[in-house]
Formats: sequence, structure tokens, C-alpha cells
Amino acid sequence: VNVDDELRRMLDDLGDRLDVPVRFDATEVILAGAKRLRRRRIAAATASGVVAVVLLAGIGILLARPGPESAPPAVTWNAPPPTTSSSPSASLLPPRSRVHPSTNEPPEGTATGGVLGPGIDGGPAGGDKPPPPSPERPPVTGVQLGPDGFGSVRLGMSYEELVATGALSESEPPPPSGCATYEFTDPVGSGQVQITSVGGVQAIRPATGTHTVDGVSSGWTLAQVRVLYPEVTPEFVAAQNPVPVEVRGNPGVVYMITFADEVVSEISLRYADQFCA
Amino acid sequence: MPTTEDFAEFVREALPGLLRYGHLLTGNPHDAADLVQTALENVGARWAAVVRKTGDPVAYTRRAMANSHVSRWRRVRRESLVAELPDVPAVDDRDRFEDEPLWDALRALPPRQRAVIVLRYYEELSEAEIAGVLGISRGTVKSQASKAMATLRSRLASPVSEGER
Repeated sequence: VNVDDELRRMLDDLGDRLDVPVRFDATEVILAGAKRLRRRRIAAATASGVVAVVLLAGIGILLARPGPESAPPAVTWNAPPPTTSSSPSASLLPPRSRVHPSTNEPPEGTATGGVLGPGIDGGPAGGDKPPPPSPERPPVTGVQLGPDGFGSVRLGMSYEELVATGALSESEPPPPSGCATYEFTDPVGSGQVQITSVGGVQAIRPATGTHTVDGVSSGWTLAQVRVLYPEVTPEFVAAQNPVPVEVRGNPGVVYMITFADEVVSEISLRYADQFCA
Repeated sequence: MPTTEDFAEFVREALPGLLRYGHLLTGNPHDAADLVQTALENVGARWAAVVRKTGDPVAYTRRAMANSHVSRWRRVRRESLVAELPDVPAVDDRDRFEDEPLWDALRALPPRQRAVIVLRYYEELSEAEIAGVLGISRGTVKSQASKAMATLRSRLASPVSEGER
């Protein structure tokens, strides 16, 4: 079989058979989704600004009042699980129940919390099982990732801004129309960033040890993570790994926490609704 | 200055073609709608910048879809891509492709291999362009295409029976 010819013939021939019938108000659904997304981004940018101001104010206080009592607060172990006001968009299509299985489809009964998963929409993904008794608190290790970046690398930064920080070599070509992955090196650590020409840095994946704003780092067990994020159940991890968890204080941004044998093996930071890999 | 009305017009015109493209990329209409909806909402949220910086929102959206589709960080689906709309027939493309064993073989490929094939044969992009769209090296494009074609040849030579699916 000449697969080249067959592919060309099939793709030429498919025509209307690839048409996807959508609801009559699909355009309005998309417009509403885009509007909601834009609002979230503005809120995220505002929150980041507030965090920066608070940090600056904190530094000012530290400088003015040195002493043991002015040490920065420890990572809050029992911080409340994240919540959000975001809601999934309406759908474009007619009923799903009669659709054949998708090759990419997660197991039935999972991913019911929308695109953002547990910790994002506060949904009960993973069932009603209560989290196990609080295990011993593990040590906080590595450099903090988030709420909006890692070292000098910040989400939303343009390619040019990233080059200007020195984290990215100028010899790297700028991103094409789509996403591009770059290796970065910053004084606090190295890793990969994904950038689009329109939205700037979409995701940060440090190669070196990191911890979240709540102190979660590589090596934590799932049971330990669940103390902070009860929605991250074993069932959810089995269906969806890495797991997106909202970044406290920065709506619209998530940690992607990867588990290997129910132990955190990697943490990255990204916009919840970005295009990139 | 691009307006919301411009974006609405763009969506109305581009939606059918983007959904067909998404159907090819994902292998089914529901994932296609999910992919298109996510991509267009992202484009709409940055509409002015997309128009200003890319000059071709359709091409930008298609490339974003291809990239998003193969994303290893994108494993979550929306709660529901479907609506209770009794006046719209349920989507089931099985019968529409009954006579296309190649369609089944294409659908069964891993996402990245399928994207490489669709970009090469449907979008007619070069290896370098595919590498740029997917953010991978040309060598990876070549190896993914080679693996995909070998799989397609093998599956077409010995199609899987219904009972084995």
C-alpha cells in the first residue's frame, strides 16, 4: 500500500465528512469564554502587582526592624486549599453520550472538574473520600516557584524581556508563530520555558529543585500533598498526571504537579489556559 | 484597532474550517470542539495582539491547536463539551468513515505522530515548519513521521478486526 498516496487521497476526499455540527450560538459561547479569560488575566496581573507591592513593603519593614521577630513567616502547612471563581465554558456540541471512545479520553468518572481540575474549581473530583490523617510535615526544599515566576523568569514576559534578564541567550531565535521551548539559566536555577510570540512566557519548568508557595516540593508523598490539597486524590492522579493545582494568590496560574508512584517528581508553573506543551 | 465585533466575525468565518482541522488532529468531533474552543477563547482574550503581531489569526490559531494537541501538559478535558440540544443530531462519525481504514489507523496514532502527519499532508508544511509549529527539532519531526508511516503501513497491510478493537 502506498500510504503517501492514500493519505493525500483520503485528506482530499474527506471534505464534508469532517464537518462538526455545533450549537447555533457557538460564536457567542466562544466570545463569552474569551471575555471571561481576559478578565481572569487582568485579575491575575493585578494580583501579581499586589504581591510585588506587599513584598516590597515587607522588605522595607525587614530593613527598618531587624531582629528575630521580623523573620519572614514560615510556609503555612495548613493553608486553606485553593479555590476559584472560574467556571468552565459552555459546550459547542450536541450530546456526548453517543460518542465513541476517544483515543485521548481519560477514564470515565474522572476529569469532571473542567479544564482546571482539582484545586482549581473546587470540584469533588476523585470522590468523597476524606483525606488520610495528616502525615508528618516534610522539609521545604529548593527554590520557590511561583506565584508568578522563578528567579528572574516571569510568566507573561516577552522573548525580548527574557533575553534582557540574561536567563536566555541572545543567540536563540525568537519564537515562531506558535510555541517554542527554550532552555534558561538563572542565578537561582535552570530549566525550560515555553514562549509564544503573542503571550510571552506561558510555562516555566525548572530543572532544579523547587517548592510551591505552600512548600510542596519533590519527594513529598501524595498523602502529604493532600493535607494541603484534599481534592488531589489517588484516583484523580491515576486519571490525570500531572495534576493542575491553583497557585494561591495568583488566579489563572497553576502548578502542574507530576507524581511518580504517588511521590512528587516534578513541579512546573503555567497559565491555566495556555496553548503550549 | 481590532474590535470584539471583528473577533466575532473571525469566529463565524473560521469556525467550520478550524473544526475540520481539529477533527483531523484529534480523531473525533468532541475533542476537536474542545481544542477549537480553547484555542479561540485564548485568541479572543488577546485578539488585538494576535492581529497585530501575527497578521494571520487563522494560521496562528491552527498552529496553536496543533501545539496544544500534542502538549504533554494538557491532559485535562473540559467538564462538558456538549449541550442538551435536542434539535441538533448527536455526533457520531463512525458511519461517516466506515470505508476508511486509513482514518482508523490515523486516529490510533499517538497525538504527536498524528499531528506531524496532519501538518505534513493536510497543511502541507515542510519539516522545518512542522518543527517550528510543534516546538520540536527537525530530527524529531523526521523520526515521528517515519514511525507514523511505518505504523500506518503496517495497519493498512493487516487491518485490525472489529473484535480486536
